[in-house]
Amino acid sequence: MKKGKKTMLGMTWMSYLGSAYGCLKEAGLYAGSIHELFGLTGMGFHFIMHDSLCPSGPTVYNWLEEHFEMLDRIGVYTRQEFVFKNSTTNTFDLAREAAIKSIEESIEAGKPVITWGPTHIAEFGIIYGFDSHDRVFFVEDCMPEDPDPLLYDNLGLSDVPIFYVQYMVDKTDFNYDDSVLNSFKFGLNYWHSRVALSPRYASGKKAYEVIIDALNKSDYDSFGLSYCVNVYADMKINMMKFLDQIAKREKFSFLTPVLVHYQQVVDAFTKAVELAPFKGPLGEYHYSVEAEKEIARLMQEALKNEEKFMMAVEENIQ
Amino acid sequence: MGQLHRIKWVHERLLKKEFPNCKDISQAFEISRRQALRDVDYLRYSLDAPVEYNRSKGGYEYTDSFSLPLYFLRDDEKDRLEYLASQYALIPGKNSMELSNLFQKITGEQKERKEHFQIHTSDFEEIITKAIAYSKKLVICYQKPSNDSEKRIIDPYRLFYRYNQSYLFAFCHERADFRFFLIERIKQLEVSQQSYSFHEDFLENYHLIATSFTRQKKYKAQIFFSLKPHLDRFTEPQWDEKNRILTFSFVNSSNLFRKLINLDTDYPGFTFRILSPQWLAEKIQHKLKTLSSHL
Repeated sequence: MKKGKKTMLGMTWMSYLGSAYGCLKEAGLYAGSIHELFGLTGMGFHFIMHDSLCPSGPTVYNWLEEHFEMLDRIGVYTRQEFVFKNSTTNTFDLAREAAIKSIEESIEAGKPVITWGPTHIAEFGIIYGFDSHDRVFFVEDCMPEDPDPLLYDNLGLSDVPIFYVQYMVDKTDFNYDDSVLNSFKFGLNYWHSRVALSPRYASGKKAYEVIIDALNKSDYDSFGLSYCVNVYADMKINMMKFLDQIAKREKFSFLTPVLVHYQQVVDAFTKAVELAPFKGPLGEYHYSVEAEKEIARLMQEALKNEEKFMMAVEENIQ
Repeated sequence: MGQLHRIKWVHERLLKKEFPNCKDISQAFEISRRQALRDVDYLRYSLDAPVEYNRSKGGYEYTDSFSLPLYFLRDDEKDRLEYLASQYALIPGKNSMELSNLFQKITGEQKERKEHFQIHTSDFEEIITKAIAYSKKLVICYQKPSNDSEKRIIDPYRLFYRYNQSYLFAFCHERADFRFFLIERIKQLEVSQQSYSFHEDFLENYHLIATSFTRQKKYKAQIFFSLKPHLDRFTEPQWDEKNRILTFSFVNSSNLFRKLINLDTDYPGFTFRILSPQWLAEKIQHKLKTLSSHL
């Protein structure tokens, strides 16, 4: 018998955040907006690019550490399971089998779970229901179509075979201003870190340099360019709303004069999206030399303005 | 001693006008006279040597000047070319026939086919490519990881390369389902005279099986059909004649929905009912309702 209530992802290109938003709302653990979730968790400061601009960039980071800390900032305690399947992994199946019961229990308690690759799309999604007789989980991904359920046997077996589940356990009170501050510190760390999880992935300031370099050399994944620009444009638009909101708080009033820089980052990404529109996974992606030059110029502009904004943040939160 | 060595030996004696005959060759190399005669025929017909039998001398001679080609085929190379000649002969098209004739000409007189011989993996890839182009079924002997070999009849769909190895994505008639085969585990391969047509579930299975190496499982469904459907439209079909229930596997419900509404339903009294899984029955019902609301 089918159990669980259909849970949609929040409307954002960032599949983890969309999934977290959906699960938190359904579990009654978060009442805010999605742009506030971007800001409070710190995910809105993510900016990771592979040197070939491959579309994996936005999801290549330390999931276990960051996802825990992100939801901790909004006072939500989570539990996670992560096993990467490669030719030497012995316990992948055991981990999945053990997780099936935990997922069922979480859903029965009214708490959908975040998972990786519940459908053929290599993105995060939600498991919101199950039918133990048919041995399937009912899932949502970031696409508009109603996906087929996920067989218990296929849990963790997406094209990027990582078994990952994050359970929403409970919530506690948190200090809003402190969480914003922590989020800024996390953002600054990202901005300066230069390298994400692996050497071919750059983060923060360095990620801008990677895009500009790839465009100047005309050597990049054209689908990835469009995908990443769209993901980060959406993220920066959400962050702008969040920054506007918190600049009204006394502790963060220092943001007011520098918001103009962040707005210019948003404007640059919005224009880049017009030059590199997303046409779906099967669309054709070709850019003229002029378009490449213009996107590179826009990224240079965004880099300059985000640098000004982040420096202002750094000066004021120390 | 290989044929190359014998040919060189005969050639040297012919040049020295020693008039060698089949008896001489068979004694020198401890081979049959019939084999010795094949060597002379190879020299004469495959290498176009001006060799004639001189009755008065009781042996062969060159009637004109002749020098051996710079390159000789080893026996295993001849086997390889003969195999290619036989397989290309089964593939339609002028180019295939020309290649078959060329390989046959190079190897000389056609011998009896050997049961076991070493074939290069690249030869299989070449033949498979041709078989795919002309939609020809293949009969293969495939070595399983356990080292046992199995004969399979397959419809070859696509060759692909992953993790430095070549694979073939195909429909396996023994399994009535799609599989990928590691080319280096194919021990024998024959092009069949039979052609195949693309299975309608090709694309979704290709994405599930060949683009992802995680061996994801497919859904299993049971459907009651008042009339027996064409089983070859399904994968892993099992038909229960008594209860008129078809059990089969599928990859996604959208394509299955399209298949179900495209069945020959205009027979009087034709009905079907999805017995399991429950989610599929609900989803198809919902799709049918949505579809009928647009009519």
